[in-house]
Amino acid sequence: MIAVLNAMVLAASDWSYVAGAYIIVVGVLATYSAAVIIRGRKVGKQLPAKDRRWSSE
Amino acid sequence: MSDQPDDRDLDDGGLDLTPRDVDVTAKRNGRRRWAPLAVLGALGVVIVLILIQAGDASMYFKNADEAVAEKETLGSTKFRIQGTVLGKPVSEHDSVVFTIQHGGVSVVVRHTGSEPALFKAGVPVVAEGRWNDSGTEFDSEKLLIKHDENYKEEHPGRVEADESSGT
Amino acid sequence: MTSSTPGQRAGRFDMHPDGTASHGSRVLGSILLIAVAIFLIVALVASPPDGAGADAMGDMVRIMYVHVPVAIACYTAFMVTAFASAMYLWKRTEGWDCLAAASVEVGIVFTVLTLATGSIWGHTAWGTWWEWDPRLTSTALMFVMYLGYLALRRAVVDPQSRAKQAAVLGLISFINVPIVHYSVDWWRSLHQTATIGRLDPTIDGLKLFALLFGMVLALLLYAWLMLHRFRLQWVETQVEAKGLDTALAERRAEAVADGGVR
Repeated sequence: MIAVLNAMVLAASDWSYVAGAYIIVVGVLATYSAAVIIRGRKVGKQLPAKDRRWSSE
Repeated sequence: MSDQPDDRDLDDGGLDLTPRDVDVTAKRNGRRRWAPLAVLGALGVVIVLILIQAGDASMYFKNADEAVAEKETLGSTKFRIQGTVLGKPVSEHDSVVFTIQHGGVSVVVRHTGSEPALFKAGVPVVAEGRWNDSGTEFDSEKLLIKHDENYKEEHPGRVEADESSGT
Repeated sequence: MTSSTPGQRAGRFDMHPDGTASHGSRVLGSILLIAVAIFLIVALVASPPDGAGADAMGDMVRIMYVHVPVAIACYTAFMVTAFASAMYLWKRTEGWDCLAAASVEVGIVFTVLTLATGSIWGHTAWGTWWEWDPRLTSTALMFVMYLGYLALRRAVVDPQSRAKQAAVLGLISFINVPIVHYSVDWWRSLHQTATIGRLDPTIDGLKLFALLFGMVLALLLYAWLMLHRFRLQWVETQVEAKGLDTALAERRAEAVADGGVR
């Protein structure tokens, strides 16, 4: 019984590390992506669309 | 940009994509921004510190057999020892005593301090510490698991393979 | 996509008129969003925990499905930087400089993730958050060197000398990258050796799939991030050049005016 409980506690702490790792990875990548896109929009304003070849205009 | 029309003469500040003449920018060459330079200097210091660590890192651990062979020269200097835990570790007061083996040579390790969660018989470990005064035991103050996914408990033969590939 | 002038209100899913998005980046981004969701299910739910063995990692093995892929992405990023730096030194066109700079920043993000996930792994698998072993030490060095690359870019004002110096540093810094990768083979390390080199029985089935899926995903994420980051770098370069041109024109005009007075 105690062994099972121990195993469960161990597994739960395992999961908190796993969750931590995935939250860091997803969180950092999402934040960085958003930052790049927002920076792109801000700086993009200073340049006419024809100088941005990827622009659909 | 070659397929774009030349817009340099437009009055909306069209861009000149040809490289600027060197003499035009010459005045600016000497100019630096000092704050990033300070950061650069600080990073340089960090690099040197890491390189000092790297000197240690290239000989991260000694295998148990080497640690025994070099017992005389090692004296009481601090180093890391590597080997596979043989048998069940025994708790004695505030420390744990166990035997590690590598290359057919066994070393008794007395570890004081916290143990990693996965520490148990049959696991390769790296212990940081020094030979005790009489040279009979290795006094460990830091114990780490050398996780090697190659190792499987159901294949004790693999221990031998680990020992040969561990170097 | 219909063109939207600044006055016109853009639809919710229209591309921002000033942004770095393109049709291609939109398509890739949409695919990636779905793929990330599938990956999370495979990595966290569908794949089994690490089973038998004295040092079986249980659920912790799932950290590997992100740790190894982000590490590969950071190698790739710095490889692209080295290539672009060499191309810049050869061709001297600002596009290569932009590519090198953009890739360093994305690479540093992946390096941070590699260090963070590796540290969590180390804490549970080895019993330490950080050890100065060859792999960790060389990775720390790699991280700091590329931070230095970004600092250098901010330190030098003139675009051309900045590009040149950065390209040289981009090439020098890359020397360390193979050292990071082979450190586990060349020296004794706490870190395990490359798993992909010997896939067979050590890692299997869904676990292997999760790892490979993660790798493909990380590389595609890198590519998508680069589309945006490269374009941002390009726009910044153009805006900077434009500012420089304006300043130079003003200075010339002043000089002419001064000459006229005398």
